[in-house]
Amino acid sequence: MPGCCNQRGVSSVVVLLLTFAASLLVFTVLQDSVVQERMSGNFQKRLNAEYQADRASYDSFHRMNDALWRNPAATDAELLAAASRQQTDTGGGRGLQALGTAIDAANISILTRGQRYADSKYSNQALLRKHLATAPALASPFSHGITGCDGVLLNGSGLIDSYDSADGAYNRAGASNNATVRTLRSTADISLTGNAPIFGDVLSTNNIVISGSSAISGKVHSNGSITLSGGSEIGGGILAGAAYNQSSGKVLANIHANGNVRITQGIVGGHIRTRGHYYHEGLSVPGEVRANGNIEMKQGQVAGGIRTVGNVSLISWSSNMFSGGVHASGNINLTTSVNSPITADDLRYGGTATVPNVVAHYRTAPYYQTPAPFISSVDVVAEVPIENTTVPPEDEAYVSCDPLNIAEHSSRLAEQATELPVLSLTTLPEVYTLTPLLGQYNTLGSGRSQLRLTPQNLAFLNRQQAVYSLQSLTIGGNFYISGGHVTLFVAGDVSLSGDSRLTIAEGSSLTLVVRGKFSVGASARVITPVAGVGVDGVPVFSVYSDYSGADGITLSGASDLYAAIYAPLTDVKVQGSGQLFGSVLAKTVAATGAGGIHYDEALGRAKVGNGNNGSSAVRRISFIGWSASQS
Amino acid sequence: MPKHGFTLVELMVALALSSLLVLGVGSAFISIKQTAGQIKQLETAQEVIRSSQIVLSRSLKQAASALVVDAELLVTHNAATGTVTDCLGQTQTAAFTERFRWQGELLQCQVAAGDWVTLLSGISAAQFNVADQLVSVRLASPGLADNFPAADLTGDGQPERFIQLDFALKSQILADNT
Repeated sequence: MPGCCNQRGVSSVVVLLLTFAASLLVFTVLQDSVVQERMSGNFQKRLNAEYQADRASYDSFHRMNDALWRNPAATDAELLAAASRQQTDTGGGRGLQALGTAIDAANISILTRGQRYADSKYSNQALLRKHLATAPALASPFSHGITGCDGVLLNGSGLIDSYDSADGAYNRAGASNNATVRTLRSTADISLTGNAPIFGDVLSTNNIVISGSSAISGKVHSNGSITLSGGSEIGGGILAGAAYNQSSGKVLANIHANGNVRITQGIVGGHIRTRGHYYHEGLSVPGEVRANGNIEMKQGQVAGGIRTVGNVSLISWSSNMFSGGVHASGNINLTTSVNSPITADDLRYGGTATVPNVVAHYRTAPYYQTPAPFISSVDVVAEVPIENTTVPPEDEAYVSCDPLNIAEHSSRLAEQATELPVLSLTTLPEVYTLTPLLGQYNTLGSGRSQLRLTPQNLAFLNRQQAVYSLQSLTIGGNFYISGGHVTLFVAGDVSLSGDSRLTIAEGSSLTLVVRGKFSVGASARVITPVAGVGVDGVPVFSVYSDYSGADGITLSGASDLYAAIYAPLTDVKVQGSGQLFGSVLAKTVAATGAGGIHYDEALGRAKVGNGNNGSSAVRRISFIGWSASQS
Repeated sequence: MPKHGFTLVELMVALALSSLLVLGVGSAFISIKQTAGQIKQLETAQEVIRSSQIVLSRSLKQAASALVVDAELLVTHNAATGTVTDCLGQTQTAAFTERFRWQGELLQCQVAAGDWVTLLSGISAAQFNVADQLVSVRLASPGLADNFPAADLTGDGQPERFIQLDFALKSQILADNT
């Protein structure tokens, strides 16, 4: 059967053919899949390269702003040097490169390249704009040292001075004299009853009473009266808007008052000028005494002359006690037993003379002059800026106790917050960590349950940021802030009690917005990085309070604390024995503890929020857009 | 000499065995071919996603604003950002707008008032959505497997499997926040 044998194995042949075709198909598909896999891999590398290039742009942006923050007068070349960067391999074949170029006076372009392995490259061109001094941004409210809008009371013993945390940690030898203590409202007094030395100026919109023994390195300037009754030494002189009374202490420079000046004891190192009357007992004045009213001196001596628009009354039992001339438009009344109490007989007056017979020659010309000698009057003492008033342009043009209008921003946060959990850490070893992305307990006390927090993207001070919201925060254990900038909004009270710690890690910062009271207990500690102003010019620890009751912020810790405090509606009490670094702006400030207050000048350059209300002298770089991106 | 041959039974058994073999291999072949077809579709889908991601991300990264008008994505570019590469790969120096649309299997792009140019094909549906500063693009391609989300993108009552690409308007966000 030949037919049968010719067809032998046909099915096997068919099967073989089919298998062959199928394997061909499979191999083609396999090859396609391998190609696809490689393409996907390349796509992933391309995305990585793009993100590297983006990252290089953000880095340059931050570094330029940082350079501007450190040196507001930075030149284009310095900015571009700060922007440019090259990193060949940061692991996994990742590399990035940034090159800044100035396009014109206002614009900077940054060409960035990212790569993931040599075959995946991406380049971006970011366009940035320089904003000069008039850029819209909120001015730092921390640029005034220690401000108590409605009053300042210092009766502690710690010294008050300033330093710049950008130059390193505080040390007394390197500290400077820029710690201004001031008030802003017209009825606000400053009372210094302790013995805390102040290395800076004291400015009051009303009266100043210095009854303690505080030494003040700067000037003491008030719109009202100044009373110096303790053993204080004032290095920068007195500027009084009303009367000046001194019954003790030393003033090493000039005294200038709108009202009467009365000095019964103490030392004066310069001129004395008053628009009112002048009276002293036994004072030796190395400079001039000039008054718009009458001058009365019970003994003492004057080296720089006596000038008055009114009358002069002098008592002297020795010769040559009044040098530099005694010139008065009005009368002269001299009580003396010697014949030359006035050096070189330099006396000029225009009224009547009541003098003893030893100096009878004073009764006539040339001592008596008609018309009466002309005496120029004493200038008005400049005003300490009062809230919401405009003062001459060379001074701060406008001051406000609450430049940020904090209540509005805080209440907006309260409206936006969707959930307000209560966070209460019991004693150690409970540890809670808050990072910009997540908050959670790392260590829990027994029987306690985990509370995880995630931030909401909310606007605070016109800046969109990740914000955690809480009803209240009680820290009895260890509270950590790490991983970057954290904004925490608390609708109620915040308290650190017992042996608790609030630690802000290096490179991180905490902005605490509190609507209730904020208190730091006696053995609580707040640990912050050395540099008071962190990445992007944000203070490492700032507290914003819109609490309007009494005693909203109480700091009684025994350990040092760094904080920029903004609480224009409530009182701040610093009563611990630890040092307070940073800045305080409050309705009233009472420092009664043994710890000093060290104003951090870097806070004056700090960045607060972002927005269009208020003005600032801060130069900054902003982002305009990307262009010419290519892979 | 008796002729030796196969008995009917032998033939039947041989026939049954060989047809079983052919059928088995045949069905395996068919399923392999189907799988290959699915793989091809999946490759097309991947290709669509990669290409549209590249085109759209470049455009939206540089965009000053984006909004959806008549199911088309309208992207505006500012002159202030210097040179900008448009969706056709040309460099633009002045402000201009780009439109993206889905037109029967095709993703098309129009620069200013120019002609519609096809960028991609093989898209069974596309939907654009702008929420705040986030642009979401849903692309449906026939090859997507069952584990992808489905929604009715074309409005024909039939759900399509899609992939969602989200793009942040980076230029706009950075300009707003710096």
